[in-house]
Amino acid sequence: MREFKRIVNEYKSIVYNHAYYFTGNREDAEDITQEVFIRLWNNLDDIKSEVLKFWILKVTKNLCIDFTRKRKKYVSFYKDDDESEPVWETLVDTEQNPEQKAISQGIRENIHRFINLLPNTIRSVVIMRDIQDLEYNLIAETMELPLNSVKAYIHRGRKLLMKYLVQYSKDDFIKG
Amino acid sequence: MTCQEFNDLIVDYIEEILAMEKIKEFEGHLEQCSKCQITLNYYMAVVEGLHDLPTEECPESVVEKIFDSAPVKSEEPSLLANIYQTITEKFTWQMRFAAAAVFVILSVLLLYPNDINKDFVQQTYTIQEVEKFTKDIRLALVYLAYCYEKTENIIEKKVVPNYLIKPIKSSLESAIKEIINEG
Repeated sequence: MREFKRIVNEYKSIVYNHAYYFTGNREDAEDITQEVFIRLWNNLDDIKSEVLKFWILKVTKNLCIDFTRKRKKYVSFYKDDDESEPVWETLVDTEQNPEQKAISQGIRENIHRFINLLPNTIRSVVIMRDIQDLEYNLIAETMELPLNSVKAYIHRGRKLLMKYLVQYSKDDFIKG
Repeated sequence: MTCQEFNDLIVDYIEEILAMEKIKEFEGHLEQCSKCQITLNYYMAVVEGLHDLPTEECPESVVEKIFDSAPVKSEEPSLLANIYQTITEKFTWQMRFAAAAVFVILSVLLLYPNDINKDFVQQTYTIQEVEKFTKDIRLALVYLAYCYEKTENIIEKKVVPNYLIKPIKSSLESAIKEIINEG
């Protein structure tokens, strides 16, 4: 029991953070976190300490995906919580103009709104690498993907976010 | 370098794992291509935006629910665990090793054949027997000291240099060579 408590305290932030940024809301994140550790409790004797982190991450990732599939909705933070405007994809505006700084700023400020619009696998990988700062090898093991695929997914995720955010921020800049 | 090739190298450039030649090509293209400049700026904004997202703290209520769901077990460690912990805290591994060895040797000597009475009546030994036992114990202790010294020597002269210092030294030398070659 003491060991279980120690593990919960050590990994609760990692699990909760991943679930929060994956689902986009705190309630779902809390449910997923609880479920992860209940499963850990039930399997604690069978898990070797050297694979514990990997096991926890993998279960977290799988539960996040299952959760969103069951809910069958995107929780969109687009503009306000009550609105659910569709997100469109456009090419990056290649003209050099004064908007660029405002757009870059807009990207930084609004990025949290668009993370959970990414496809599941890409979303998991981007959260693990760019938000949680986990190593590539650990991500590859957790996702059961080759290392190059992990890098490719990260790149795609960032580019998708870039496309969403550039248009959103440009829109904001034009309006306001 | 084409814009597509530039695109393909962005991740490695940001992760700082591109070879020096590729960095020069990458930055050379960057200086000349305004489209890729904008792309890189926005890409960096995305990466920085993600890195700057706050770490959400897991609420204590969730942790409480987790512990409430797990069946309660006794937290008292067993007597054996307590004894083991006390011994490991108070005695170094060398002392524990020496004590175990002396215990084993004395046990073997005490069980020395034939003279032990099953009813545990006190034995009388001849002076020669006592002298022999004393000699044996002295020999055992000397051998124990020799083993301890040898082990210490091996650790100092072989294990630490070959399995600790050499690999670290070799990694440092490679890293320095790489830096010199790049710079």
